[in-house]
Amino acid sequence: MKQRTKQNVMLMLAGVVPVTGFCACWLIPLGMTFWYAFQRNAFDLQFTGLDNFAYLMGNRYFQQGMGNLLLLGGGMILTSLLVALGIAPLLCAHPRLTSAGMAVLLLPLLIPSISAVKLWQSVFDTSSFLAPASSVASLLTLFLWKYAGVGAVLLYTALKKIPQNILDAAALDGAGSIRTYLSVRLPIAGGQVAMVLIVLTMFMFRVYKESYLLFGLYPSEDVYMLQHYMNNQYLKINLQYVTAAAVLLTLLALLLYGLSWLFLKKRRAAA
Amino acid sequence: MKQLSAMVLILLLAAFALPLVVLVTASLCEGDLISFLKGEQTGLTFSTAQYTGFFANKDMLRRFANSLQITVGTLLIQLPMSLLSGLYLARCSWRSTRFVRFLLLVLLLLPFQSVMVPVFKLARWTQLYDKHLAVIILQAFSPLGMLIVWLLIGAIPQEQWEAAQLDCKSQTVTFLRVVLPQIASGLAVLLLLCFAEAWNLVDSPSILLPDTYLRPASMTLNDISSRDKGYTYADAVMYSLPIVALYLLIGWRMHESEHTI
Repeated sequence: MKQRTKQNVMLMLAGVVPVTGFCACWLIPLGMTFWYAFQRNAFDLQFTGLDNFAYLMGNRYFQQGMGNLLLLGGGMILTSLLVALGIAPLLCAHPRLTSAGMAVLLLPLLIPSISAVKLWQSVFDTSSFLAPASSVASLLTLFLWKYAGVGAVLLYTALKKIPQNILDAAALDGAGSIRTYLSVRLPIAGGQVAMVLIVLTMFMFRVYKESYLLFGLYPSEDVYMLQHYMNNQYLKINLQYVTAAAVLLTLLALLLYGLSWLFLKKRRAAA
Repeated sequence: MKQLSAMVLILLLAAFALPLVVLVTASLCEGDLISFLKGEQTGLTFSTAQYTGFFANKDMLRRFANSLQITVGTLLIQLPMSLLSGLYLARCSWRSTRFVRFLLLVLLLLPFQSVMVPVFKLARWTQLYDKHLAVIILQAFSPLGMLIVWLLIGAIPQEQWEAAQLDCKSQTVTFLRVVLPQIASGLAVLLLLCFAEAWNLVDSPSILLPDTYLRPASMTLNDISSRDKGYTYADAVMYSLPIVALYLLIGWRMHESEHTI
């Protein structure tokens, strides 16, 4: 028992510096965001209740940013998930192409966004305010290219783990490959689908990076997202609105992750 | 059916590889390959002048040096910190550890904008504002590395730990002789991911580095390479080169070690 406690203390000491650093750089700032969101501004700290949130709810640009984030983000996640669901079984079916395929699918994730953006800016007319369809297409395809491959690889690893005898039994029952995939393999790998959903959601919340590099601070209305609104308010030193929007963004993110997590837990319990 | 699905897979993979192939090809052309393909431009010549132009562009080299400084600085702090915290998270049996793991996971999933204003205020308060160190410290303590090492160490079976502790005199020896060799390939992937993340920073430098001269190339390439399109593509290729090289190197080493085993 004493030995165990001593070991825990040693481990705790090993973790002190990194965990303190994490708290100072990320956790305390998150707490401060929630505190500032209820102040008149981030400099003279006067409690104003929900005034900042009320202002945001009535602001046209905030509404547009939030609407686009949900619509565009939802579209990006759904399209990427469908592409991943399409590629993963193909990788399983052709083992000789797997290692090259995985290399090709993972590489876009590592390529710096700025390098990819250079090409996308030339292919799509991202500079024009008159081409909203082109703006949406450029952001959507860039997201798809960068992140759908990761989803496909994650799904592939889950599909590979399904025991062969289950697939043989399905084949004996007369199920074709598509039927086996939809009715046997996907339900078994449901937990991993939820995991892919969580990862894609995380990337969706970070897509502002690509959007900023593609369009700058003021994109066309169709790709104007909540993060653009926050950055523009930041530049105007309306920090109270930035933090209030950050609180809403955080709550939205936690809600989406929570739903995916519940689905994941349910699937694991069923498995 | 099998052949058809192989064809579909090859086409899909080609679609994923296409942007990179086009980017590299375009970087070797004087003029704009994309405009040429769109039919908006005629006449295109092969040239490597874009690459010599890259090395002659002092502004560009300065931004590259910024990127390198931030990335190397981040990795030097992040990797040891991730190892220490991963060990604590995976092995400490106190209940508080589970709570720390939960917080790390939540913070990993949130966008940078969630902490943007306090980070700016804290940087000013600590007088790190407009210094590379602010970006380095913020990135070095990001939860990604800590969680990956936790997963890697957590995958080592309990019995193996106990056996190793009986054989080795101290925790440090156990860690160095038993744990590190087992998670080496995972650490290589961690290095790759952390490098990619630090090399691709946009959000935090935009808040913490108002002086554009100090910003990394990952966010200033748009502003400083605006001559001929071919030059722009060459700059983009050059900026991708370190991460692609690291990816290939790590992939090759892992492949080699699999064959050795």
